[in-house]
Amino acid sequence: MKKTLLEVRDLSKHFTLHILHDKHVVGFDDVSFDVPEGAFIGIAGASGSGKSSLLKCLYRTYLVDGGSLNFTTAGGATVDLVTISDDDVLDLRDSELGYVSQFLRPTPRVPAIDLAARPLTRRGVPAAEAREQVEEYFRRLKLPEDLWDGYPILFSGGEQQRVNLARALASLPRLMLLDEPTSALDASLQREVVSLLAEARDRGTTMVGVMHDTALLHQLADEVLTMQHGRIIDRARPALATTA
Amino acid sequence: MTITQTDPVNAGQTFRDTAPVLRVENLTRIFGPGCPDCVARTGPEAETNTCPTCGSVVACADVSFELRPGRTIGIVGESGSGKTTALRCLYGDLAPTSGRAYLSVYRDGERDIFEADPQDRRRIRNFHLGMVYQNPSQGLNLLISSGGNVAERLLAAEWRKVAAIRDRAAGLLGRMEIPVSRMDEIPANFSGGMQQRVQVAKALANGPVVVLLDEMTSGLDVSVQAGVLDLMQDIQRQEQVAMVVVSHDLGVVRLLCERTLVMKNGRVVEAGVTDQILEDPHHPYTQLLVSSVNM
Repeated sequence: MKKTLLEVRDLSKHFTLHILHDKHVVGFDDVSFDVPEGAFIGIAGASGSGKSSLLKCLYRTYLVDGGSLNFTTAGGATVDLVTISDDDVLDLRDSELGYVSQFLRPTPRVPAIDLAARPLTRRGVPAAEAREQVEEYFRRLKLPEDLWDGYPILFSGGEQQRVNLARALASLPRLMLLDEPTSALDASLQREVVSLLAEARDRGTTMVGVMHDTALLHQLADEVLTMQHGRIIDRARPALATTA
Repeated sequence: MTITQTDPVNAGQTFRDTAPVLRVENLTRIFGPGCPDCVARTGPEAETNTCPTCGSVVACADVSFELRPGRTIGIVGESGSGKTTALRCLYGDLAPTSGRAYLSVYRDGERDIFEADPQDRRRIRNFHLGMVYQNPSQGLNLLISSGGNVAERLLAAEWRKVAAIRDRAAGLLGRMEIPVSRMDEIPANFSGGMQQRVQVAKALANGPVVVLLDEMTSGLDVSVQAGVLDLMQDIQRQEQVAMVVVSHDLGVVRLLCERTLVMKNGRVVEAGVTDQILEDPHHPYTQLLVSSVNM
């Protein structure tokens, strides 16, 4: 029986847009699921179903309106990601949490390789070693070598996405949150990403991934949650289904 | 191809040193006679800083935050929201009307620095804090050399060896990309961007635990601003110095600050991790602020 890394319980997220006459928008409601250590939990659903909002709530880019997020740290302590301080969230992001956004918002004037190496150097890995690890991923993701020292702000969507993935994979956080990480990549690169993510999982990284592409999701995920109008409407275990 | 790589972080600590280097509690500064109504009748709900009863200006009230080692916090808000006043109270340019502040390096963080006697207060400012003003003429003596400006700060922190002072000044100015050949020149001859870089060198000279930056790039044009901000990011990466960055520019805060406080009419209306403030702002004023810029 695997330990649970993250317990999502009764999570809800609403938005009140004061500048639009206090318009109320429901992100999602009553979302509960377990993320066992070493698992890949996939989240599927149409645009606007609340998938990305859910992911952002796990990283505190969004604040939740209710529920809890009990996370077990590497040291074995359990902390609620909803209630810990902003400073603690920042520490966790540095040490154990990774987030791969759909769109990279690169820091201006920082070369791709340094941007991707930053999570590692923040943790004290020497710069040369960090760059080397990133280079391996750049190579496997077929990011042209002449771009490595370029500024990602000038890159195409697909190139930015690869920088973003290399950044997360090189730092190998304990929990990696992926928001449409392959949306701008062609089929062969998507296959490469799938095998890289599978390797990361084999090395112990736990993942929660939002993907449109249900075929890709079923190749990777231990469990696929389907969201509609802000609620989980279906839970499937593709791996079990194929072995049954 | 196999990738040689360490396993997901198990080594190392999840949470870093959690003891703050700076803790600010209910910092309040009122200009004018003040009356019992001042705080109650001003603020974002009242939409004014001016007390209707006595006419005093409540520049900031009940500002509280903590800052951990090496972290950067931003304070954003429109002109007159009280950001600069709060910063100046911390540096000792202004005396607060009420409130407390604690620095880890002063009596183990157990004594309010606002209660320190004048000699201790000066020492805190000279040894443990750094300040970069919006207007270089406030932070620099424009008529003594840039090296001399840095040296002045080192002398205040009781550096006594001329050679060491000269080396330290040259090193810092070099890091801020001021050519050594211009160290002996007066900052009055420098461009705005260069003057700000000399100010940063001066603010870092004494090895402070906290550097306070007040709208440091506001007077600069965009490309010069970018250069200064790049240097500040380098400093953040290389030095374990905590920073409080006051700016009306959300772009500056996004680049430099991990956490952000939003101020309006002298009060903190929202505080959070910077990406949360930008992507999920809650207070009506923050929503207005975020939706007003293209980032």
